Amino acid sequence: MLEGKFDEASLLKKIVESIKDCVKLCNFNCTEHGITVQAVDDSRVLLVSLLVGLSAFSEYRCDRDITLGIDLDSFSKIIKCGNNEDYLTLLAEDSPDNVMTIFEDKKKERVSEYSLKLMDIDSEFLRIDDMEYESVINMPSTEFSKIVRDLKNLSESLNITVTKDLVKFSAEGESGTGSVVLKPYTDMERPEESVSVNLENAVDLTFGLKYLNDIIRATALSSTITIKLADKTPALFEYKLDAGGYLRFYLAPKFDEDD
Amino acid sequence: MSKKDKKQQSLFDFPALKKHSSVASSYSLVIVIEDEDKVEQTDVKFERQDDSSVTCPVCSTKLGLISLDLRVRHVEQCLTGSHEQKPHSTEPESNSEKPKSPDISVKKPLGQVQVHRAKYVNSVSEARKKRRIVVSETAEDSTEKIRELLPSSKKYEIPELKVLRFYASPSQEYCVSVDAFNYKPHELIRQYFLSHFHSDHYGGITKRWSLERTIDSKIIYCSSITARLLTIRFNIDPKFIFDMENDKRYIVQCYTDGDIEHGGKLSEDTLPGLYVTLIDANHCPGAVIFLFESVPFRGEPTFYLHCGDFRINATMLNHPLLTQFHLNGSRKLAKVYLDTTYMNPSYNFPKQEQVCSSIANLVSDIVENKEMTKDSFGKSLQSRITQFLSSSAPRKKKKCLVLVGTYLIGKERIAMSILKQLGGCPIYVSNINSRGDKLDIVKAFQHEYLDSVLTDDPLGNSDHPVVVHLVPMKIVGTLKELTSYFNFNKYHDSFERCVGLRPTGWTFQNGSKDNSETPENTPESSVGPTQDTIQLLKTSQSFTSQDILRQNPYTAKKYAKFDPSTYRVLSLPYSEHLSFRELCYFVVFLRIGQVIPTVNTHNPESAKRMADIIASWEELRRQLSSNKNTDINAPALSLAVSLSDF
Repeated sequence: MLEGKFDEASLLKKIVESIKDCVKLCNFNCTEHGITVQAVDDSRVLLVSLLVGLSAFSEYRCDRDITLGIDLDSFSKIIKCGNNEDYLTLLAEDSPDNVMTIFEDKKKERVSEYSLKLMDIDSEFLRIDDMEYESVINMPSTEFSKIVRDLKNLSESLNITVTKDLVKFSAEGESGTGSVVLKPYTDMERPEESVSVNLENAVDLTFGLKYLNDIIRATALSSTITIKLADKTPALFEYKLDAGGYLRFYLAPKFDEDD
Repeated sequence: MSKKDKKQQSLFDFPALKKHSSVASSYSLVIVIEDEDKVEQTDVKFERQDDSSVTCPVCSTKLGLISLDLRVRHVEQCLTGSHEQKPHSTEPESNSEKPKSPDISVKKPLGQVQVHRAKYVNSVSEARKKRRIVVSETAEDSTEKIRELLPSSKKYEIPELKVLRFYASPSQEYCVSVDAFNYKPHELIRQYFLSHFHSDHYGGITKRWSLERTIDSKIIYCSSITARLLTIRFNIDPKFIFDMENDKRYIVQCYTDGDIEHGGKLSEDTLPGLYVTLIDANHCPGAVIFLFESVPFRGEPTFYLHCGDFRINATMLNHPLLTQFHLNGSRKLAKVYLDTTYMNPSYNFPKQEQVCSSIANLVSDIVENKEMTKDSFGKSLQSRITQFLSSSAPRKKKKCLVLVGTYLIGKERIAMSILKQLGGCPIYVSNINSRGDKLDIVKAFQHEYLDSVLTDDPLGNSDHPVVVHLVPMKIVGTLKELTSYFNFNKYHDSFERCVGLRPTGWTFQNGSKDNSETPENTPESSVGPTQDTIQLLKTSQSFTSQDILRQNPYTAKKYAKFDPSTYRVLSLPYSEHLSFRELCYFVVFLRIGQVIPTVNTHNPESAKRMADIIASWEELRRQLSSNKNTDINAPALSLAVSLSDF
């Protein structure tokens, strides 16, 4: 039996909106520690890893591990039926055929219930070992989102180079080129506006902008993003959930064909 | 499913409104039978009174209880012998019933998204289809007992355009038809010619079709490939088909003795009768054009050429059987039934051979990763997350999956040219969206080279870096379809790239230099239509792989949701019909009495336009021939154009 109650529906709403475009179908794995999702997009370039920790719920109970196979398009339609401030409760039996979503208005006596049919979704579980990253960037998530949106108009690929104390995002296309350079910056008043670069080795990586564009849909989840890079390795883009947990994207880089 | 049991009520079902029955009659389609048992009424809304009296004419199953739509489908399936379930659409239903049986662990029904995705997945099992063929062969025995013609449901007479009339003498007429199967039986015609296996030509043929017209005589005349396809697809009994080899002359009717035994025979005679020779149409596999020769009791033979659908090339123009009709030849074609699909100056696409070699070169450049392809496909290649995180060792990927869009048959020539250029890479026939007989159909071509590279492994059974798939045209229609095919078959684990080829003459955009060839746009049009035509004939355009890339540019908007370094769709100006220029060659350089367009004839406007074009070409032909005969006229110098300019 799963029973997970969020204090505000908006958190789950944002999570579903963040990932529904890159993974249409995914398994929500519910355990006593919270809810996790691991899913790969159809073209197997982008991996989504989500953890909604216990602290994100106002009430949580899960006696046995339960897997909820969910069509995110349909789930998204249900989630949108609730108001942002509503309580949201997810309910499922052990080995369930469907999952209940219940919205409760905090002021008015209004309760709405939706049931979603579940599916069997086969997914291979990919083990993600703790990888050694050569450089780690922390920056405001809105800043990263703007860079991706701006450079997307120029090219299909984004190049990220990190050298000593400097991050350069650049794109090269038929019509021209563009680049954005960021240097470390500390804002004592608003720490979320700070940019930090920790560098062990310089890196130079290229990524498909189509996939980066999928990633920045999660911008609303967190005011900062952490980007971890290493040569010839998938990059990690992490949005921490204030309430407890994270949404991580692992993105496979593009290589020169001669490599 | 309980929600579906409730039927939509009509407003007129309610007593308050019932009095106005006169109003109701004008809504005859929404009248609902007043019945208590709603359960039974899921599909049937009308025609219930027919009930059990309606039976299938083939298998005698009672059809009274199912809707008209389903009845039609049932009978159609009986006739084509294809009483198998459609592989994908019905699967979810049968799955949903499974939970009742206790033997398997509870499986959830497939979600809509999953059903949709399954439609793109090539299935491995061919077993079910094989069984179907065996069953249908035994079913054939029952039809042999039929001793009288079955009634035909077809309503319309064969149009005159599809009837070819020959005269043994002024008073004795003999007629056959070409590509006319969708009409009611004709009292005079006993020989129905089929030019090729495309539905707009064979339309109307079913297993039953022959039985409505004959007891046991040869009635369908076609090439041997087309004959095999008729049997595979429609279970037509070979006893009704007279199949012929190309370039051989057959007598099919003797004017003195009537029918020939077994429908016809090879013959070099000149006795009065109707003779026919099949010439390869350079269209789809098995497609032919018919050269009819009618030898009357008295006088010279009459020649008709029925072109079906065809595309000429230099070889065909100089075919030994056609050279006798050249301008300097000894004979004349009384009538030519011409494939006028592209009888419009804007359809001036490059020669088929050029397109084939250009795309073959382009694919080979992609494989060899030449600079030119780097420019258009991007310098880098997208890696997959799974190759970093999977426990299994990453497999060496093949370079490229090439998808060639085909109709049921046709357009294979593009695939062939790529196969040959790449030194025999494997080719796989996709079975999605098909009745499961697509591979049998390709095998029926009995093409030696194709058979040698055909594989049943979609990933290719050799180390060759490229695999070609023949896929339904829809798959290469949009990037979305292409990526669905690639992703849902999980081909990203095996291939680095996927290039879809969409061959069609319609999509060709004329380059700027070609516009001068359209008479309306050129200032020289004052010189007269003849000069325009000569210019058209003399200008042979080139076409290279650069042109393909130029016509299919990368645009950020189009590829916003797709990865352009992995997925590409290329439209090719490839056609299996004559271009406008080729039509012109055909009409100008053959001695033709009457050109009869067979396509786009229903619209009076286009019919008039085509007639005008043909008239101007005939005028040029007259000038060219008089020039040759007399050799005096001075202005004729400007007419220096000949077949060798093709």
